[in-house]
Amino acid sequence: MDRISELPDYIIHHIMSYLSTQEATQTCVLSKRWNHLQTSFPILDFDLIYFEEKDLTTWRKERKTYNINEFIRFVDSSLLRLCEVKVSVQKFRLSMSVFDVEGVASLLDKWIELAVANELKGLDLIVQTTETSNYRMYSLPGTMVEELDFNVRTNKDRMYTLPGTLFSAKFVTTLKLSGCNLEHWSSLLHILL
Amino acid sequence: MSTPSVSVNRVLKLKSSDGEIFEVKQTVAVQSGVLKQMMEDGCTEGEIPLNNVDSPTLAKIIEWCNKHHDNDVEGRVLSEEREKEKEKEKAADMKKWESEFIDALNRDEIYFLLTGSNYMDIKELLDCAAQKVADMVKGKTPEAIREMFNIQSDFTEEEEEAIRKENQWAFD
Repeated sequence: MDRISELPDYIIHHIMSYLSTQEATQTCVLSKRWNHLQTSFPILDFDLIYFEEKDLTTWRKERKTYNINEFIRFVDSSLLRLCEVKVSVQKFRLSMSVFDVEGVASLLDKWIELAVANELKGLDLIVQTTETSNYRMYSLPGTMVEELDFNVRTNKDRMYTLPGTLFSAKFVTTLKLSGCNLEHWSSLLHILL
Repeated sequence: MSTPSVSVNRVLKLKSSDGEIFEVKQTVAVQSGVLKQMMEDGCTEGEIPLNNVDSPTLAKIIEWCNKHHDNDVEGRVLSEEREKEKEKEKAADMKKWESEFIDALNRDEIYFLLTGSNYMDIKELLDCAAQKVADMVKGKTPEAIREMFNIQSDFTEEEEEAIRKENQWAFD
């Protein structure tokens, strides 16, 4: 007897939260019930490292390359589907390393806006440029204000500027950022205090 | 952890869905969010019916809560004596006990433990059972997962193929 599929959605989602995004995504083919569970999973954790290109010619293998288009398509469709079923986004984590941050900035804006519109609670954003991949990663728990300040001072030119929408988000309770510019950081500071 | 209405020696009488009565110390029962709330509201006189939990499951849940209660009490004494080492050992022992506890259960028992701990609002136990199911799923192909949980696919071959293609990256 298939008892596990009979569990309420939120218990299965809780189980899925212990899986990697890849493992959780794979459950979508199990049955129609699981397909629904996967598309309504409120934890969005996207990491470009899962999208490593395979079957490359030898000379390109020396350096890891990623299928950024496939990644963008996946993030985009996952977010849109979640909006369709009107599920509030518990967590939105995005980790990507790109050559040209400006090229993806409008996409990031759109994704953050979509997530915020869906009652986003936690945002964890890591945007790196490949040119300077030796950047240290900054995660910002607890002493956020100090570290935000630090980020602004270090590498302003190459960074992604967070959209203003984020600062009007009603439901955000956690925010971790790295490699992001915070032009609106003074208003964020206001929210934090 | 303790509330004014909780006393060490008082017991609650829990009645499982199949009518069996279990006596549980109040100090143990506070691990359940639902029972804790009832104690705070002062409505724990007589038998407390737990209509969604059968007796084998309730026995397991109580075993879990008793073990965690004992460990908490001992842990407190040890930390007062500043025996940090032993405290660490205790935590490791508890982890070991938890995994043996959960590994000894079959699939149906885990299912009832998930629904029971959810119903009684015992977060740590729910987490532990959910983690167990996730561990069972990890590293398995969809076919193997279906077989393990007796999940019947209601997709046509074409539908399944299309979904796989749409999420190609996850299956590579």
